[in-house]
Amino acid sequence: MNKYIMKSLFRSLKSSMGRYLSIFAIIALGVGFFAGLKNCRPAMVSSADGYFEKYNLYDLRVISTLGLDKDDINDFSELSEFKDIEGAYSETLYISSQKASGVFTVSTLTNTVNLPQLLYGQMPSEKDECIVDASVFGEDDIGKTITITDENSGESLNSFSEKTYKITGIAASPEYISSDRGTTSLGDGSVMGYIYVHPDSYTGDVFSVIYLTFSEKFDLYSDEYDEFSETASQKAELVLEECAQRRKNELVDALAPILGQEAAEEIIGEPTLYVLNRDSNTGVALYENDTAIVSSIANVFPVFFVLIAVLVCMTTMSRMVNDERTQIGTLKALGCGNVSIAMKYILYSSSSALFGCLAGFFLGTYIMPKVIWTIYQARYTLPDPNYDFDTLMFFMCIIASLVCSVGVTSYSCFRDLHEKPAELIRPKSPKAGKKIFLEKIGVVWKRLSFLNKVCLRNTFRYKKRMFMMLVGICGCTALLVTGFGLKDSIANVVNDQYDEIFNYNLSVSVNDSATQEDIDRISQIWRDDSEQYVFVYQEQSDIVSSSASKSAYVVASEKNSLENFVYLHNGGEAIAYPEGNNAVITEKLAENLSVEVGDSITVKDRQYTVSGICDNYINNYVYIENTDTEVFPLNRAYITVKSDADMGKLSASIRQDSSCSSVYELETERRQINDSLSSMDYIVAVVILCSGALAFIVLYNLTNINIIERQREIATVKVLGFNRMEASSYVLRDNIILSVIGGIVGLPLGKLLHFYVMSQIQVDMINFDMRISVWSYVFAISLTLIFTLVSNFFMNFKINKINMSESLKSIE
Amino acid sequence: MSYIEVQNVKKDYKSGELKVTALHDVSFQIEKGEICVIVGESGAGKTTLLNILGGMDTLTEGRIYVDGQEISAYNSRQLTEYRRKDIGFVFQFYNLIPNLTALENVEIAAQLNRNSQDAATVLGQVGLEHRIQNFPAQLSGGEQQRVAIARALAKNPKLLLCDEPTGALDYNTGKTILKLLQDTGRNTGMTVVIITHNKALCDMADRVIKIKSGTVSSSYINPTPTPVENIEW
Repeated sequence: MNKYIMKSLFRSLKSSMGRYLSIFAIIALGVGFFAGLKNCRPAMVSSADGYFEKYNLYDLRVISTLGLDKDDINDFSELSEFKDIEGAYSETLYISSQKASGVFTVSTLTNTVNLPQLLYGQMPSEKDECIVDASVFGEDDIGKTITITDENSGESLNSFSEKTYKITGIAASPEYISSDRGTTSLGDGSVMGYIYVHPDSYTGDVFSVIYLTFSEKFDLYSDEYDEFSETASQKAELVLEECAQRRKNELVDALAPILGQEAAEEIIGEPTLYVLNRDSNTGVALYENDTAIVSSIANVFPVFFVLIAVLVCMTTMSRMVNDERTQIGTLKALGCGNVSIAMKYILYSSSSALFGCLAGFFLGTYIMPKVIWTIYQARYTLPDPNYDFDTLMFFMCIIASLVCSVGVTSYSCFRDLHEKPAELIRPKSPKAGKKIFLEKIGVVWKRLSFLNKVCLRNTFRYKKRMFMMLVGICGCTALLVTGFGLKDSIANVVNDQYDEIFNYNLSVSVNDSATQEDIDRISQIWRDDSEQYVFVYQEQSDIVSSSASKSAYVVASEKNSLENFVYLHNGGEAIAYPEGNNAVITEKLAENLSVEVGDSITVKDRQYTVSGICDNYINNYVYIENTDTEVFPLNRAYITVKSDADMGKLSASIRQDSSCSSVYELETERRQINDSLSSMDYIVAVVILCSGALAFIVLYNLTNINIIERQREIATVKVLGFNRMEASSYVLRDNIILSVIGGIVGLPLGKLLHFYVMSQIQVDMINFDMRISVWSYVFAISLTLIFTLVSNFFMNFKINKINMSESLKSIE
Repeated sequence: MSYIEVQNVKKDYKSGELKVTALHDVSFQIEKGEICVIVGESGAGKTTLLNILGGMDTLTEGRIYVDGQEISAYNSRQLTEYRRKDIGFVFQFYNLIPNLTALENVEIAAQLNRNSQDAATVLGQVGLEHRIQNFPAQLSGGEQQRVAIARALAKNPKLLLCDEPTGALDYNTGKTILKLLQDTGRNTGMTVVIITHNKALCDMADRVIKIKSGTVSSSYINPTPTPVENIEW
């Protein structure tokens, strides 16, 4: 009997390769999508984890405003939680160089923790050498110099023995994997990049920061890591307090003989202490967020494919069992057992599913992370991920595919097998026709053309197929809406920010020390090239509400001066510009601080009442009236440059002014942010491909089965004189009806999916607008219909090929 | 020229290297309004002849004229038109569309032609006025074949082609169906061609054509056709 089964199996295989392949393909796609997308987050995380481990990124960094010394390091090393402990000195300084000038973080190089990744050149070996940020400098800058400018305070200038450093190498740092470089109190608060100098050039005797790594290794972003980090932080805090106290006593003891005990204590003051974990590192936190986006997509998208895989597998196998009914009946009549008859079909479907699973799993785990990685690669300086095959996932997929294929096949087989052989040899009576619900609504039914009635009834004739078709089409449309919606919500915000909200195109920040004369002088530079300009106070500062504290840009403008530069509005409605103690804050900030109109917030120790919440997409702002230029010195100019002026030349000449600390061209900012968001185009492309694949698989499989089942019927209508067009539309019109229905149902479903995916994306800097444009809906449903039409086009050939003599054959 | 002229028809089937001749040197005529029985054993080439007469297949050599038109020269579009307007087909297994009611099964053919008869009227003529809203599964074999005949008649064809119309029916039901066909031919003057392996049916025909080994072995005119009810087999 076994021999027979194998023989019969191979014959069936040969004669119905298409069917075998369709199970193979759908399982491969389902498993590929599921395993592949699920693997994206682990692959991304392990890439970062490996990078952090290689360059030994700190787990904790401790900071004391009084500084830290070697004794402190010894104290920390007594704790068993820590392995590598090393101090460093780091300060933000004004730096000038040929390539770029502005505020940089200058740090001393470390030997064990937080090692820079040298991309080009060599590590500094002399005390007047440095390596610099690869996002600012390039390979061609090696050999050039950077200078600590005289703008810096005397104290800062004295910290380093050298003023000019030679660049020996270009480096990336595990501490800065994203484009964020931190903030500073200097200038406008933003830092351009980092510079690592030789430790010997540091003249001081205390560290500004001690980096620590944990003695135990946990996976990045894991709960175990977080738990360990929490305990370790608590212990570190205790040690840090002791250290700070000791440091304070030493300093007081040193000063007391000169100033007296009390005065010395007053001068030294209480130190501010920080124990910061990796969550405080913007790059590490942003990356966690991005991996969360990927994993939320991974939770949504494969569901449809898995569902469709089960359904397709089921219809295909019950079709096969049905086709070979007579054969099954004959075998049974000959005395074969149910199990050995069923075995053939079980082997057929499970082998196909198994091969599909293997192909899908290995291709999926390799291709999906690669695709996703190309999207994120541009935003992070991280090495390519390893395409790890997850053994547990692998066995899960295998078991799931086997259970699914064996399950649905056994169900189809045994449903037929318990019939008596005599019944089995006779053909199954065709499914009886039935009136459909719509016929009860006479008004509608009577208006339909005859062929439309036939088609409608056919559509509802096979409930299972109709349901599958709807699930597939609906999923396709929903995925398309989600994809286009993601683009709408993310990509357009940049344009809105720079087209609708900001009406100026150049922003100049001036030094805090600038006098009125300086301001008058610098304004002369752009007077002829600008249409209008205004001086305001703008600086990053902590905004405090009753429940939270969040950093934002405070913009203080004199009465009626901001109207032409920043358009404050909410939805379509303009918001009154704040006066007195009122403040207008941006939407995302209001959300983060959980405040509403009428609530109060604290800005620079002053109380303000929120009088309006305005639309804003990039960064967070608080707008207030500038009533006191002592507190809010005018340090920033918003300029609307004439359209025929040379922006580059103008910026350059402004930069040369001694009072100017930096110049921002808004167009450049827009381009930079747009560049980093261009990854959305790829995401949308991936989504369109996926939904297309989904639609084609479903349509092809189901239409194929539909045609095979109705071969006789199609042949008959051809004999009756239906021409090509009529015969095709007799069968394929169902698909169009179902596509329209599925598409319409898919639209709201897509909105829900979009909402879910968007709600998983949380970035502080950008306020994504949760919106889907009308065009996205139109594109989604049109594409769905196009997919259907293309599939119908190919199915036409199949219908044309049906021979009319089919109609004469006896019913097997 | 006769209403139907079949002249020296040859049909070869090629499958790979193999060439099988299904029909050769087939010639006969049928006059308008005749009931013609084409009889032969299975494998004799009946079905091939039927396919060619019905415009479902093309021939290799020879000519066929129906009502003066050379259908053997038609292209596939013209053949579709021919099936649509000129041929009414009655199948052995009825081939009703399971999802349509009796009435709709007739309508589907009727709506293909402008000068069709009213579907309900034709169903009345075949004695099914009371079952017109039933689906095929709710009808007996004989009733289903009546619907199939009504479907064929509804478009007023030049030629009613019946392929083993009683093959799937019991003796008595088969007889009533044949009677219906005979009466229809007599009453409407329609040309009816019945293809069968049952030699007993020769007695009901105006003209009998015997097919053997792919060619016409004999043909004759029956001057005194027997009414179906008097035929036994």
